[in-house]
Amino acid sequence: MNRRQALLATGGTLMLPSLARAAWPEREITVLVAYGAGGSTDVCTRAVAAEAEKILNVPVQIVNRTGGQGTSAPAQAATSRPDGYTLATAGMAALAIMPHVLDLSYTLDSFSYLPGYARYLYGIAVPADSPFRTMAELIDAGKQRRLTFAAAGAPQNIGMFELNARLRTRFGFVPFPGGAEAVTAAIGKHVDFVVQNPPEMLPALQSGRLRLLASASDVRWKEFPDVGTLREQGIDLAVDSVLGLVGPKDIPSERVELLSRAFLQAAQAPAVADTLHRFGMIPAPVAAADFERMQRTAFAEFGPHLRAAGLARR
Amino acid sequence: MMDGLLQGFGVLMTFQNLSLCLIGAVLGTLVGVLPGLGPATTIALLLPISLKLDPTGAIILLAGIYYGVAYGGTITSVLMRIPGEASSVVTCIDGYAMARKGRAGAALGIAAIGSFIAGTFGVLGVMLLSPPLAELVIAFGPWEYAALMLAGLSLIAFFAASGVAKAALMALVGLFLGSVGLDPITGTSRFTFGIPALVDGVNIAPLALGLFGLSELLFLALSGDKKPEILRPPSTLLGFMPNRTEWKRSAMPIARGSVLGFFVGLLPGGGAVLASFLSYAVEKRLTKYPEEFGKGAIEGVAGPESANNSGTAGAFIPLLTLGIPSNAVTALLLGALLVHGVQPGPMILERQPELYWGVIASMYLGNFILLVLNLPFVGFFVRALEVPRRFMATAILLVCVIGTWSTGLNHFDVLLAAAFGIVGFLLRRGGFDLGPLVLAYVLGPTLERSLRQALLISDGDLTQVVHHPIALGFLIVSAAVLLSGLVFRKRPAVVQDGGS
Repeated sequence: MNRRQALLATGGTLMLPSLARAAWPEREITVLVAYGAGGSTDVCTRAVAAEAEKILNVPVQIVNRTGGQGTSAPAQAATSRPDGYTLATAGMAALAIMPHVLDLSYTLDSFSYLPGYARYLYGIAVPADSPFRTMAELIDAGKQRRLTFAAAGAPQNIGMFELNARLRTRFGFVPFPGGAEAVTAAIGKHVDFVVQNPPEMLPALQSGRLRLLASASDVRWKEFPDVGTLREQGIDLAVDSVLGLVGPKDIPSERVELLSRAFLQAAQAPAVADTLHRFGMIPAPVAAADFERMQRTAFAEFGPHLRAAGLARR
Repeated sequence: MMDGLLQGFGVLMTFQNLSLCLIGAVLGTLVGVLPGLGPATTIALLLPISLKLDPTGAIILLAGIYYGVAYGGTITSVLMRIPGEASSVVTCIDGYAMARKGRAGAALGIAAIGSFIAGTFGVLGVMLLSPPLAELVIAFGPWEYAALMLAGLSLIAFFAASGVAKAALMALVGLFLGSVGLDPITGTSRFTFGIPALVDGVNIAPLALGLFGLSELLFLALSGDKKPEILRPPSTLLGFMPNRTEWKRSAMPIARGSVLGFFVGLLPGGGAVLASFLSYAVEKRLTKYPEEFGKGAIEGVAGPESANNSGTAGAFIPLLTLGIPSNAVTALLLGALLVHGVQPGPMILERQPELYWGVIASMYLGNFILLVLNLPFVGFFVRALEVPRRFMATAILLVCVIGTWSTGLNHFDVLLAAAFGIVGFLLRRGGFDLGPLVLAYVLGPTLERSLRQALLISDGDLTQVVHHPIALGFLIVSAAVLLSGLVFRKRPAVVQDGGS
């Protein structure tokens, strides 16, 4: 890197022919994935990267930069050279929630926004022998007495806080370190219900240990086409979380546009959709501008809820 | 069941699957030897390669790494007092003491054999008991975990060779170190001093490598030229093996460790580490030679090393039957299965019997391969002690620094390890036992999270624990352990005085 710069500085004219020949990008692009290898974020990003490689004609390599609740990768990207060669995955957690909770080295203005490519799917389920058979029954009971729900964290908990605020329910949030633990707590009836994603919930739902009351997203689960979404059941709420890419701000705009086009096209590939479905996600090719707007709106909306629940930093 | 197992061996008996089993086991051993490069990192690295394989082959390979690590982690613990894995921390205590007494071969041999027995026992357990044990996992909620962790913590009473006050002080330090990072409930940061590397807490690698490995380096530097005793090179291949007395003393610890490790390993959250400590404490309590503990008691190696191996097998039960990963490594295995379109869970036995039984069969074979692989190398590894001390010390330093660096890829961890090295050295000189510190550090976060979850569920009512019989049982056990630890503590000392 440094040598290249030195070359550019001292012998810029020598470099010109090669620059003219090779259109940008000239070398591999690195995507910092905020979560560990083998997880849903990692696998889905790898699928998108594999498609983007074909479009950009350079390798798109994945580096897992885990930690800080998904904030380490975007934090590193924010301070990297704004040449478009270093990007990071970022979702609701990193952009709309953690900035309220942790003292981070970045803000929402530290980034160039690229497209979103995947949406997490959420569902609300109760143990098989729970007395609640519909969402309406669960909500009625929640108005009478305090019910507890397990979830791995935001944004599911925020969705339930919003129900509490709007419908005067008393749903108490019990955080678990991962989706699997949250689901296990519901199977064992240690909590009244669970709000999580399909990969952890499907085994329990299919074996009849849990009962799905609603899809908490905007679409139904393809494995449970008969179970309606919250909106279809008369509750105007959808827990939504879109995963996308960001880079440091000040990447030249033509490079941002080129990358946006490439990754948006990659996100539409059938192979990507296949992988996403296996991990209980839905393809969500979201244009860069829309992705940025979504995150900023969510950031503004989540603040009051997090503060009310005592989860925001003081 | 026999049909299933036969089918499994049928699946295994292809050139590809046999080689994958072998590669996994060998890689696992290597990874176990190198501290820092843990099974989770290795499996993550190999995941893209495993995508090119069929799902059965991929899981055979990755599972091989997972249980292979439990074998390899012992070697550096015994020879250099560097825990290769968190679950080998406790082996450092008596394993290394044995090596100083010239019994390194016996320690490594008994660890390998104990691991084999426990590993095989664990696979048998997975095969025979999966469905009922899955129910046990589900029965564990926040109350039960909190009480279990408390019972685990009460074990410090048995580590209190240095005195109860000192052990309790070390446990408090461990609890404090475990609380660094993000608050498990609110997610706000605690004791991080604005250092990004501390947001995810104090890593086990700098802690264990510093306290145990680097502190030993300082002791070596101070101890003059005294070399560790080495047995004469053996005339036969297995000449380094444990002698008859050592065998007799190890039999029951291996059996107890196997059973204990299996059940503790089932439970999500730090199973193998807790299992090894638990086994150490149990053996220390039951042994006829308590005065030898900490000075090279073979029970202190045989028990924990067996426990951490059957624990790794136990962790497969919730993964395969419920689709619930119980630690970071099985979470990666779950990911690997999902990538291949396999949904683990109760249906796996009906939908993909060849995968389920293939993996079970590969675990039997893998454990056997590891035994065959490890025993002949014992002699080779023991010779490493003949290396002049200045080279050995350099090697320890190198291994500790690289091990620390490779887990988090940041400088801060290396500095932290150095600090822990000095702290560990000072504490050990001051007669403090480091076991309680590590135990509390490992159990503390789960204890805190579970207790706070339980209080969230009960809306702050601590008396709700009476509705949880399992939790009550653990509380009674903790009380009994604490009492017996305090009351009977004096007895061994008297025996020792009379004997010597």
